[in-house]
Amino acid sequence: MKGARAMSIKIALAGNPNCGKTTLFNALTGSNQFVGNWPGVTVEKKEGKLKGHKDVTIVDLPGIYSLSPYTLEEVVARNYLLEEKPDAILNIVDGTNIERNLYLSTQLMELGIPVIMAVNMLDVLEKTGDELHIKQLSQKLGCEVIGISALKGLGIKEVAEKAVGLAKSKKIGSFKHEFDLRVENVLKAIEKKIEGEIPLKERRFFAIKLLERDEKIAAQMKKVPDLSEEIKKLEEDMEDDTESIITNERYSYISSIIGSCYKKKGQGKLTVSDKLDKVLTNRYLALPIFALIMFLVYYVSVTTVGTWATDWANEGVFGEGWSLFGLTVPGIPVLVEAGLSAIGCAAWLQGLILDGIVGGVGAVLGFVPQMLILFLFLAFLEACGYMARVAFIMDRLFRKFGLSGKSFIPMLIGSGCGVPGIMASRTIESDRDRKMTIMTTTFVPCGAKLPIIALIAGALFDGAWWVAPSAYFVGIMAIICSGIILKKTQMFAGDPAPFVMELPSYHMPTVENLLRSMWERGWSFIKKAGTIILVSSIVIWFMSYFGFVDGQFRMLEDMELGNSVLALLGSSISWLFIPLGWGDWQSAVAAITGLVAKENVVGTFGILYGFAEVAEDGSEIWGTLASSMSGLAGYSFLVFNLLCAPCFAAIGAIKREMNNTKWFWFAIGYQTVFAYLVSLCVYQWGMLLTQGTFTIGTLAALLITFLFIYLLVKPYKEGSYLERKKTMELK
Amino acid sequence: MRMIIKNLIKMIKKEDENMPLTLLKAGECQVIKKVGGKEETKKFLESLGFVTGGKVTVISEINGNLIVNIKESRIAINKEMASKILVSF
Repeated sequence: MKGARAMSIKIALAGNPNCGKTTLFNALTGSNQFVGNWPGVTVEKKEGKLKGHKDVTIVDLPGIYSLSPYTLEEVVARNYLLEEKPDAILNIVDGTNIERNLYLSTQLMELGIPVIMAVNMLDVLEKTGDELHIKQLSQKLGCEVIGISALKGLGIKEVAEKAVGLAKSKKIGSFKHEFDLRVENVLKAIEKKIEGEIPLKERRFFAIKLLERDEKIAAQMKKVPDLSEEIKKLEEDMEDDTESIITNERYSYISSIIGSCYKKKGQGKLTVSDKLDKVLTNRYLALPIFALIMFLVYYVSVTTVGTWATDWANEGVFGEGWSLFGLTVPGIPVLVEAGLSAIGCAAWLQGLILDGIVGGVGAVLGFVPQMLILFLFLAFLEACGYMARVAFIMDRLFRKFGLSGKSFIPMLIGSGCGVPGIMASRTIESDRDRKMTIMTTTFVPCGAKLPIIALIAGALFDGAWWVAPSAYFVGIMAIICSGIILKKTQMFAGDPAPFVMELPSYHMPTVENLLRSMWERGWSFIKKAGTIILVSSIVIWFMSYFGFVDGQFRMLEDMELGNSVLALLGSSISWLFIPLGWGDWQSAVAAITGLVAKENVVGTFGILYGFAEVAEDGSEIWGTLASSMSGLAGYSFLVFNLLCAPCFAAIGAIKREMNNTKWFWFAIGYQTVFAYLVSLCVYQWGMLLTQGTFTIGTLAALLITFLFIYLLVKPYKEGSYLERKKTMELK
Repeated sequence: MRMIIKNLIKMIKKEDENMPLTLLKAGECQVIKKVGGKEETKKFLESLGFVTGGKVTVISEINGNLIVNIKESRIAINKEMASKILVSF
């Protein structure tokens, strides 16, 4: 390039949700992308370098329907465009839905930033036989328009070159669209009033926004002119409020130009997606079909292929070893042990690495293959368009207890692992609904809680069939009750956001896309295993292998765990759990180690009862456990571990998604207190009904139960009060 | 039941013959007469294409929750929101 002066160019990708923006972004940037968070919010912005142009940055804005300030995405995208002022906007438009997509385009063109339009899905248009005259569209709109297919990779190069050229030339398109004369006159008058502050190219955008009474735009200006006269007159003239006038003007402008550019074939005929929707979202068939699909997904990913994969990972790779075409491959612990012995590593360090790090992290990584299979299925359901319908089908049910249909997907994923489940809550736009979903998702028993269930069922209930289903029942009831109770608190007052959601057309996802989604979710889980679980594994190991013996602090032998720091900690808090029926220090320690990873609970009992290694369901210690704990206490222990704060990895995910320390502690605190109270009630009521014992604990349980019932049936008073207050403030 | 409600509304509101979108059956198509509700709701519906004069077709219906076609796109909308949209008979 001539001239060493680095000229960096920023091009913003803007468009409706679901128009193929991300596909285009990936095609434009190749693999050079990274994901960053917008400050303060969970909406993600992606940034990447244009392939072959190191000096050109492509910014992928969140998908939006308009530039009004009503949703988080809209505010984020608008602020970026107004404040950062990219050199050009690449407006991507879904060719199969051009009318609605152009609504945003008309607004983007007013910003005073050069705009180039890419009409996507030309391949689909060709298939349906609809005609779109790109040249004519370009002439009518007054900006360059290029037809592409992001999926097939057609026209990508051309659009990239043109966009860079446009950004360099800084040429703003000749402005073609005009509103009704009455509106235009008022706009001219407003433009005149703001002449002093707003530069010419942005003047029209500001004038329109001021006319629409957009407070956020007004707040950005130093001097806001008084427009009440103009607005009142226009509203009287056209018998509508100014915002609706502008909206209607935009749509009538679009229909006036679209007629000559777009010819639809087979008008009024049902598309394939419509026909599929008639069956899949049928009022009678929707739920049975959904149940069948879920059953298949779980049957394959949890019981058959999943179990095989988990066994391979846990017992093979992180165990003794596995066989590959008859060749025995030693497991990682075996290899590490051999390696450490060979270099003459100190015994304590060997213990730390083998039992602490490899054991702790390995236990978590062992779940990865099973999770990847589940994620692959979920990615397929998501990408083909079915998940959006599931949210719609479940919305009516979830709304009854204060959640939205969109909360269902996180909970579904949470039944595999809470971490990606909590992360999936990001797709819920409403802040209130999202926070509530994050707080309740981990009540669903995740894969790692299954060993605890197996232990309690086997040791204390003779392997009764009802223990496992009852655990799921407890989880689901916890979600429903929490939803109802939280809905009545001031912070969650009001109803879930009304459900409105665009449903994408059904289509066959690409393999590449599925694998990418599976890997993204799986990788963030693996990363957690490498960080938070690694650190906590080390800490727990130190606490369990060091302690005071005869007044001396030293490293302990395998069988001296009773003297460890962990045991000390356990005994110091075990009194807390006496009302719950399991006040011995071993159970308290097991509950603590459960925080690292839930399946640790079983292993901890194994160590504490003097078995070096136990099977996944802990069958060796069933006898010992049965003699130290009654069935009722065991069930109370199970309930507490199912509902209390999840493992560190999930706690970390909650912290990140809440993005607010106060909310984070509230969520963890709520879960733990809720778990404590429910377990207390289970134990005390059980004692009263089976043994007839009545103690102060029983009294507490009675009081809690009454309080609980009161909270459940209490009318939604604060909610309506808050609503009224809000509307009054607005007035 | 649906027919009774329809006729009742027709009798009461002879002047402007509007009814909420929720009363449409699967497969029916009508013209939007008015979009009501809170400013925020209204604006969001409008940006999705629910504007006066637009044609809306119901694809499927589960207890008042609807999947509709508007301006070539498919939108799922719950009962509460759909009742804010008035269409002609």
